[in-house]
Amino acid sequence: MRNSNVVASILMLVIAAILWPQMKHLTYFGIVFPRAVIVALVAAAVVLLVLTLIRREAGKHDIQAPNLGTVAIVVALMAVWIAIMPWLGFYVTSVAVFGLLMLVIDPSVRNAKSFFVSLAGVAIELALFYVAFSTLLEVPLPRGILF
Amino acid sequence: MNTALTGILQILSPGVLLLMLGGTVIGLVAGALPGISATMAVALLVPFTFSMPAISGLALLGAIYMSAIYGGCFSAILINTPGTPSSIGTCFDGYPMARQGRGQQAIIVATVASVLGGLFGVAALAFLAPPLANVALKFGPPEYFWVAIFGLTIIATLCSKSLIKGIMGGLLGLLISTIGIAPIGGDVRFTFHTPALQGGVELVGTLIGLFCLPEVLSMILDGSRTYETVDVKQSKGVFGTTFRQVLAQPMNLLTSSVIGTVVGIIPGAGGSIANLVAYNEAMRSSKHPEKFGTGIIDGVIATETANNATVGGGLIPLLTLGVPGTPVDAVIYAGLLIHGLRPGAELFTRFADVTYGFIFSLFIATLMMLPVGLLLGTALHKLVSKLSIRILAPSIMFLSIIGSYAIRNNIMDVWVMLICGVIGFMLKMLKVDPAPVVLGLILGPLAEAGLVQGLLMGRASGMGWRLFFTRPVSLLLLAMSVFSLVWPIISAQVRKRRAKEVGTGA
Repeated sequence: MRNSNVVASILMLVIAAILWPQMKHLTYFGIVFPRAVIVALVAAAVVLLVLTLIRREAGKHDIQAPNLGTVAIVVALMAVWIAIMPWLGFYVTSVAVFGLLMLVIDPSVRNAKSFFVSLAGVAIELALFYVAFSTLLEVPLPRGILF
Repeated sequence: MNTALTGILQILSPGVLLLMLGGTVIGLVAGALPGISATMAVALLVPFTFSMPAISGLALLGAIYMSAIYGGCFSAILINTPGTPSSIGTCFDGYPMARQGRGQQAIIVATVASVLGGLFGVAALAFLAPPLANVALKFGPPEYFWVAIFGLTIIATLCSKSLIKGIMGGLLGLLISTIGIAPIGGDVRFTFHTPALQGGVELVGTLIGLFCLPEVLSMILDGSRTYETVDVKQSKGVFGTTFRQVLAQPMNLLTSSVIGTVVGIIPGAGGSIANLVAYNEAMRSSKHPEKFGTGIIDGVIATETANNATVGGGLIPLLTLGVPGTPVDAVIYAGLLIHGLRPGAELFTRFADVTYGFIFSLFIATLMMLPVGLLLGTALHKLVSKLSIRILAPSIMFLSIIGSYAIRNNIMDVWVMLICGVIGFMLKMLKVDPAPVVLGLILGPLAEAGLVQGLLMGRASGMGWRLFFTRPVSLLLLAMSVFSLVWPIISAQVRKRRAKEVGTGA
């Protein structure tokens, strides 16, 4: 199923199905707006689905998704970045994950020397941001067990 | 008046001017990099303004915004790839000029036109916003409800290739805006028992997620791109001659400025539409339309004047009604909120120093583009176009993480940013534009407060729901909402019928 209209409609219907039961115990003034929005969302999704089926466009594959594996790895690395940042420390985690991301995004960098030169540059760039945020902008970044 | 003057004087302090100069350079770099839009640049840098005084923070954001829109012309002229969607039309004549060895002239034309268009838009903002804010004072909850609905319908119509997908995006944004405590009644909604979500989703993190991450992930998917830059030969005396050539087209400058400002005012449209409309209009009214696309300055003047005029125009509905004119204005809205400023008449009375200071800062930032663009633009573009994606993409991710964390020092906001980024990427693959989602998110509280307060008013007056359909301004806004929804359907039918007639005639 690679038709964007069909997938988008189903996705919206799933979102509506998840949120609808959550409104069970809300008061009138709390429910009136989200209920109207969910009803409108369901109506729009159904109209899009029906129109796509009537026009026989459901079989048209228009979702271009090459190289999704790389995107999944990048998102997973970002999740790891956010998860271990408070525990290990903001700067150390950022340099480590940044290095891994460079390898994932451009696997052609096989030369260790060029990689470490780039990483050293990145370490300096991140240090500047770290200092800027923690001292100049007074944002306390997670220090963790390292820093 | 004195308060406004205080704000203007604050802008002229060396610290703020230096900050704006930095913002102009950053905006230029961001605009010149294909793949980094003005929206993305401003969204990533909003958190940097958090600890600054409101006036300095907004002046910095304004400078980045204005300059990023202008910066897009460098890649349009030198590599035939618009740096931002606002410069699509600049490729048509700017690149041929550069290929003909007139790159320096094209850049000067684009710079002068951007400055003049920017100044016109800011002047419109300065003169139109205060009276409009006074009109908005007469609006009650039902009118605000319809303003939000009108904003959403027009955004859904203009931003997406598919009307229904645009509406779905807007509705999704409205739903996200209801997460947390209800504005009236205090119900806790859609938090899935997560206490951190009780205050609602944090706007800056959500905007960074929806606008920046999908672009970075797409950048990674596209892989490394190499561009062939046209060399620009510097000659003496070109500036004076070109400047006079630009000024010799007053009608083109004026029409494009008006188009840019008006398109900017219309919610959701922005520079990406304004530059193409202005290009078409310049071609239509030209004595030599056949020369357009071959490398004439008229086309560059039209597109660059119009796209920078949208900056001031887009801020008019934002500052007066809280309805962002363009996606970048949605981010500026978040910037206003983190400094405790709410759009509306109060901005022009209680916070007049900040507001007039901000408007004045846009004037200064526009003027700064002239020396910065002419002296550094080409060199900066050459430098940043060599930047590898393996450095650029993780750098943007790093800024996304630090930016979404910095607002409340809360790791939950970073998770929300990542989730919104993944949702934004999925929506992009499904051809649902993120702009209606974001605008729905911003207009949601306005629409809900208007609806619920209107219902309370209706109950008290015994009119109930009818209150929304009886007041003159409400009816006007309702009619405009219906028209904006029906118009694309009618125009599509008309186009189809005309195409059929042409086909039959042939």
